[in-house]
Amino acid sequence: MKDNINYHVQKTRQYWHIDGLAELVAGGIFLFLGAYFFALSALPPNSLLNTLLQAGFALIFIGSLLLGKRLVTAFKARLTFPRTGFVAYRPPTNRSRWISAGLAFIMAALVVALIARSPASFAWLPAITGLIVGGAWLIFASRLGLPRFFLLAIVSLAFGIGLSLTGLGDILGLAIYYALMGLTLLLSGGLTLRSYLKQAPAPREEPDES
Amino acid sequence: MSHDIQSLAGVNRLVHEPARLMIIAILSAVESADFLYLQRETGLSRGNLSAHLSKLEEAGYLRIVKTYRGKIPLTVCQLTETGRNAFEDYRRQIKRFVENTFEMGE
Repeated sequence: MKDNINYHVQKTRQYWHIDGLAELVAGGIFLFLGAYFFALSALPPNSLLNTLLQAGFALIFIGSLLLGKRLVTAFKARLTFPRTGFVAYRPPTNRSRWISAGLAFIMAALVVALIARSPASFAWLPAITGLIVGGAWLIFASRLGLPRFFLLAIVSLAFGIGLSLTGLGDILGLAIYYALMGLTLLLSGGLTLRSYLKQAPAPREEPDES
Repeated sequence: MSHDIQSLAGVNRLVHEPARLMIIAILSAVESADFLYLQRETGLSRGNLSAHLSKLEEAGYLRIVKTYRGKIPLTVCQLTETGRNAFEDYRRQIKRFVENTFEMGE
């Protein structure tokens, strides 16, 4: 009985990722960030555009996240909710918000300390990014019990470390990391969406209850 | 031990019924879910699901909001605080019983 209850609870928690739309949108954001870092690596270091792009990174990053969330919800409203139903998740508690903010702060402080102590560690930025992104996927995977997220965590770490070892440099390394991760997420999301659409055909127009 | 077995008789029967237990378990994991989602997940017929939802609503365990998505009627269900507490009590009671049963068998 206990396993049965846990099964339904876990399945409902996984529902947000049943269609792969979140990965598809995340893949788009990663490709966009890849293009951003490609632009940074191509522009002369002291040019005005380069400085503006660097200064606007936080804005671009947060803007992409906010837009991404809206896009996922809009796609789901058209594609997923009419097929398999609507679910709204509970907003995070204050405690979990503080924990997330604390972890992000510690992570940022560690990266800044590492780079300040050893400027050579700039070359390891792709590996550090791969580790952070991989860690996030690992947390999702263990919370939700989705095996493909474990795979994404491993891929992120492998891309990050691999690119750092190639010695491409920090900015170009990051550009290629984000581009590769974006393509991986698009592939993972695309396959998940295809499988979902096969299992859940488009609904007939009818009221939702008797 | 007999006290533990007897405590099972006092279990909340409104929650204990398997179909309703599924509905409550699903809703305990989210803020709200619509009729279509609950129907697909539980595998219940429309009439059966409606009947169980009505019972839970009457008990104050569930809040049902009827709205529209475009032109399609949408019924959204949400567990109330009373419902969440009843489910937690039920889980604790069953867990205690199962643990004590295994202790006795060992």
